[in-house]
Amino acid sequence: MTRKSIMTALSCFALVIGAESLGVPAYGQQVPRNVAQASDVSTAPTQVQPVFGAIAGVVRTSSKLPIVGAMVTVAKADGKGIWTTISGSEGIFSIPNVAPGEYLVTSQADGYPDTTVSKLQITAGRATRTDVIMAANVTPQPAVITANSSTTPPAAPRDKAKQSLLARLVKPQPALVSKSQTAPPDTVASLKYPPIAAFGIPVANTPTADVGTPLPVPQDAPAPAQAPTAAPAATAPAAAPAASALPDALSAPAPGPAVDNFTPFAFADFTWMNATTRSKDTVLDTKFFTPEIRFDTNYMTDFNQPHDHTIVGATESFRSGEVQIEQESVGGDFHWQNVRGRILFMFGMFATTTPRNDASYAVGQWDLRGAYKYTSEAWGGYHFNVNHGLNVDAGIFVSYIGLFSYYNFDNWTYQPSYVSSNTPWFFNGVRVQWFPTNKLKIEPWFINGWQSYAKFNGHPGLGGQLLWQPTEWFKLVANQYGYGQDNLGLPHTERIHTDDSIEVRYYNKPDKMGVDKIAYTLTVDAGCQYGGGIQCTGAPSKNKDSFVGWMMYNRVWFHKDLFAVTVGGGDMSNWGRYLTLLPPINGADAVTGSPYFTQLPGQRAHMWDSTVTLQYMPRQYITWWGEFGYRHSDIPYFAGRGGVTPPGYQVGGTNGAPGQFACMSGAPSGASDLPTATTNCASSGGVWFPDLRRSEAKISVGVMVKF
Amino acid sequence: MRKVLLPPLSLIVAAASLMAADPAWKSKPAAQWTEEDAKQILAASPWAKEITATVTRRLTEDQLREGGQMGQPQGVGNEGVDPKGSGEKVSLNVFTGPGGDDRSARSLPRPITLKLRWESALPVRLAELKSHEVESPTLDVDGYCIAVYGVPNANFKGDPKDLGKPLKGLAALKREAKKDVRPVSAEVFRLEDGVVVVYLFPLSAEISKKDRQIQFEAQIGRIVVNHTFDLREMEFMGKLEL
Repeated sequence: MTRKSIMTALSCFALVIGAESLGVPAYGQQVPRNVAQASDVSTAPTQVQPVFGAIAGVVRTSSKLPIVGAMVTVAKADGKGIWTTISGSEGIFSIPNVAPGEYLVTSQADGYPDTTVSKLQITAGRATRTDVIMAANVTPQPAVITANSSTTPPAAPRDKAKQSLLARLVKPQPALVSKSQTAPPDTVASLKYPPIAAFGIPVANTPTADVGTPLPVPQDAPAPAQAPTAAPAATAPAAAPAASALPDALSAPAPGPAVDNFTPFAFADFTWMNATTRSKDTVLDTKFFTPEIRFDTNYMTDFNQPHDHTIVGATESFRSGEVQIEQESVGGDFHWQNVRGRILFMFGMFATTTPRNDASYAVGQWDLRGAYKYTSEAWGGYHFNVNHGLNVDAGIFVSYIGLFSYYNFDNWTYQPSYVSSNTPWFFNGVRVQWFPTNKLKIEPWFINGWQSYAKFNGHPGLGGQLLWQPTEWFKLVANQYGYGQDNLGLPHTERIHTDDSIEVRYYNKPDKMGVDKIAYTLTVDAGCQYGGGIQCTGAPSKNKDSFVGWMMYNRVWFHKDLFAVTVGGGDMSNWGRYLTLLPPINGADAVTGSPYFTQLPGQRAHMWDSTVTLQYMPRQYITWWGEFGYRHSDIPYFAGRGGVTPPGYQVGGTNGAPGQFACMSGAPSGASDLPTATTNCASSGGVWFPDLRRSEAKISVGVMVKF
Repeated sequence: MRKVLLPPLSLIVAAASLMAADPAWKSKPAAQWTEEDAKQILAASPWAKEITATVTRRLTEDQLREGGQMGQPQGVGNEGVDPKGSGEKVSLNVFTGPGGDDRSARSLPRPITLKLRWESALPVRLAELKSHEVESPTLDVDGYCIAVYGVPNANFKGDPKDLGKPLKGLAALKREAKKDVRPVSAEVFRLEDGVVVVYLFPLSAEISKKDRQIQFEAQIGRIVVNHTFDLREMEFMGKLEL
C-alpha cells in the first residue's frame, strides 16, 4: 500500500466516521476558531499554515496480517511530547498534528511483545508513514483480522467507524485500574477508568482519521500519576435510594410484576400452604448460621378419659388431661459458600414418641434409637450451581410423605389424618435435590428404609419426590417409595408406596377483613407389601398387605390471616396393619409388638377421622390454637377409660414385657398366646386387657412458637 | 409597542419550542454539543433511561431451604439491598398483633431506581467524552454494551468478571419473534455510590431497526430489571446506534 493509498483510505474513513466527520474534537481539546469543519478537510491545508506533521501507518503481524486495536504511542525523542491512538480497521493508525521532530513509535497489542520503531523524523506539513511489524509470541487474539475482513457484509450491525471508535474508547490502560482507597486494586472490583495518556489527553481522544483537525501543541508537563478521583457529579449515574430513606414497604407503591425467576420457588409467596412455615421473616441470620427454635406445648382432653392419660394411635397426640411439651427444638442451618448443613435437636415428647415407630434399631447393636432420639434433622451436603440448583445431602432428614410437616407449627391442623400421621417423619440416607427449573424439584432418595434408623433387611429403600409449584395457588407433590425390605423378621418382603398431594388456593383477597383466603389440600396414598409369602392383592387369607388412604382439608383465613379455620379429615384401609400405629399397650413399640393388637398379614385396620381447627396467629412466629377431633376405627383401637397401661403402673407404664399378655395384677403372663396366658394368670385374677374403643373424641388447645 | 415585542417573542417561543422538540442528539452535530447536552444524553435519552426496578422480597431461611438454597444469597444485588432497620421486629406482645401483616419491610418487594445505559452506543460514548465522565465502564471486547447503574454496593471485592459471572446467565435481550440474546459477559465495577453491572451482548445478535423494540431483562441478585427500549428512537446520524 502506497502512502497515497493510505491517505485515501484515511480520507474515506473520515467520511464515514459519523461524529468524527463532523469534527468532533477529542476530549479535552479546543477546536480553534479558524479550523475548518471536517467537511472542509480537503480545503484545510490551503487555509492553515502547516506547522504540524502527521504520522500514519499500518500495524501488521509478521505475516502481513493487520492488527486491529493495537495501541500506538508516538513519543518525542526529547521527551517533550507524546501522542497515542489505537489502530483501526485493517490495522491503520494515524496521528495528526504532531510537532516536528524525532520520534519513537511504539505499538502494543495483546499477544504481541511491544514493538518500537525509533528515530522517525516528522516534518511540518507532511504525513510520514511508518508501518509497525509485530511478531506474535502467543496465539493472536481475535483482534487480528484477516485481509479479507474488509469484505464484511454491509448488513453487519455496526460499521467500521463505530468499531474503530469503540476500540479507542474501550481499550484499557493497565496502569490505571482502581480508585479504591480501602483495598488493593487487584482485589477490589473498581471501575476501570478510560485510559489516560500523558499530558492528560485520553487515549480515546485521538481521532484515528481526523487528519485535518489540529491538536494543540502539547505542553511540557509531567504526566499525571493518578487518574481523576471522581466523575463529575452531574454525570454520575443515579444512585440507589438512600438507605436512610427507608420506604414503608407496607404502604409502598405496588411493585411491578418482576419476580425472582431464578431461585426455586421464589417467584411467589407460598406461605399459605399446608406444611409450610408461614413466617415471612427470619428473625436472625448470619452468613454462616441461621438459627431455628421451635416450641410446641399442648393441652388435650380425650373424651374417653383414659385413666392412664394415654392417647393412642397418633404421632401428634400423646397425653390427655395434661399440659405437655410436644416439641422443643433448637438448631439451624449452616451455610458457607456452597457447603451446607442442618441440625435440629428434638426434645420433648417427640424424642420418645417418634422413634418408637421404628423397629430397625433392633437389628444389630449400638442402640440406634438412643443415638438418634434427640435428633430430628442432622445432615450435611453440598450445593452445586447446576441449573437452578443441585444438592447432595446425607444424614437424617425429615421425610415429606404425608404432606404435613413433622413440625406442627407449619401445619393447618394439629392432628392430621392417618395418611400423614402414620407415614414416615424421617429418613436416614442420602438425597439429591435437583431443580431443573425454578418451579420443579426432583429429589431421589437412597435411604436405609421406611421410617428407620437402620436397614431392616437386605434391601435399602429407594424413592423420591417430585415437587411442582408452577404458580402461587397450586402445588403438586408426589412421593414414591419402593424396593425397601422394611419389616423386622420378614427379610423377603418388599414395600412400595405412593403418596401424592395437591394444594389449591381458590380464593385470595388478601386485603379483605372478612374471608381473605380459602384453600384446600387433597392427599391420596396407596401402597402394598409383597414377597416372602405376602402379597399386595387377593383374599385376606392369602396374607394381603396393602394400604389405601386419603385426606382432605379446607382452610379459610379471616381478617388478613389473623385467624384461620381448617376443616377436614381422612380415611385409611390398611390390610396387614403395617402402617397402623401400634397402640402403646403396656409400653409396646414397633419392636416388641403387642398381643393385644396384632399386625399380621391379612388383618385389616380401617379408620377415619375429622378435625376442626381454629388457629389464631397474631404474630408470624406464634400460633395459638384449638382443635376438636373425632376418630373412628372398625376395630377396637383407641384408649378408653381403662387405658392401655396394666394395673400396678410399673415403671414407665409397663411391666417390662409388652410382648406378653399381662395379668390382672399387672405382672407379665409369660406368654404371648392367650390360652397360655390365661392359664398363667389364673392365680393373678386372670388376664388383663386394655380398654380399647372404636372411637375417640378430643379437644385440644396449645401454643406453638417458631423463630 | 405590541408590534415591536411580538416578533422577538415569537422567535423566542419558536426557538424554545424547537429546542424542546429536538434534543441535542437530533438537532446538533456532536461537535456542537454542550456539556449540558452530553449530560442529558447520559442521563435521559433513548440510550440512557432511569427506570424503576424491583428488589424482590428477602426470602426466609425456610423458603431458601425449600428452594434448595441455604443462607441468604451473597453477592451483587443480594447484599446491601435491604435498608438498615428493615428487618423483623420481634414483639413481646404475643397475644395481639396484625396477623398476616406482621412482616418486615424487607419481606416485601420494593422499587429501586436504576439507570440503564447503552455504553456501546456512539452518542453515549461521545457524550461521555464531552462531559468528562471518566468513570464509564469499559469492557475489552466489542459488542452491545448495556450498563446498569445504581445497584447498591456492599464493599464487594474480587475480579469484575468473577463478580459478574453469576449474573451473566440471568440477562437477556428479547425481541419479538427472535431468539433471546444472552450476554457473552457480565462484569461488575464499583462506583462511589453503588456498583455498575455491565453486560456485553454479542454483535451477532444483529439488532436492527426492524426489530422496533428490544427488551432488556436482567436479574441482579434480588434486583429484577425489565425495560423495553424503542429502537426507532435510538437513531443517531440516521443510523441505529446501540
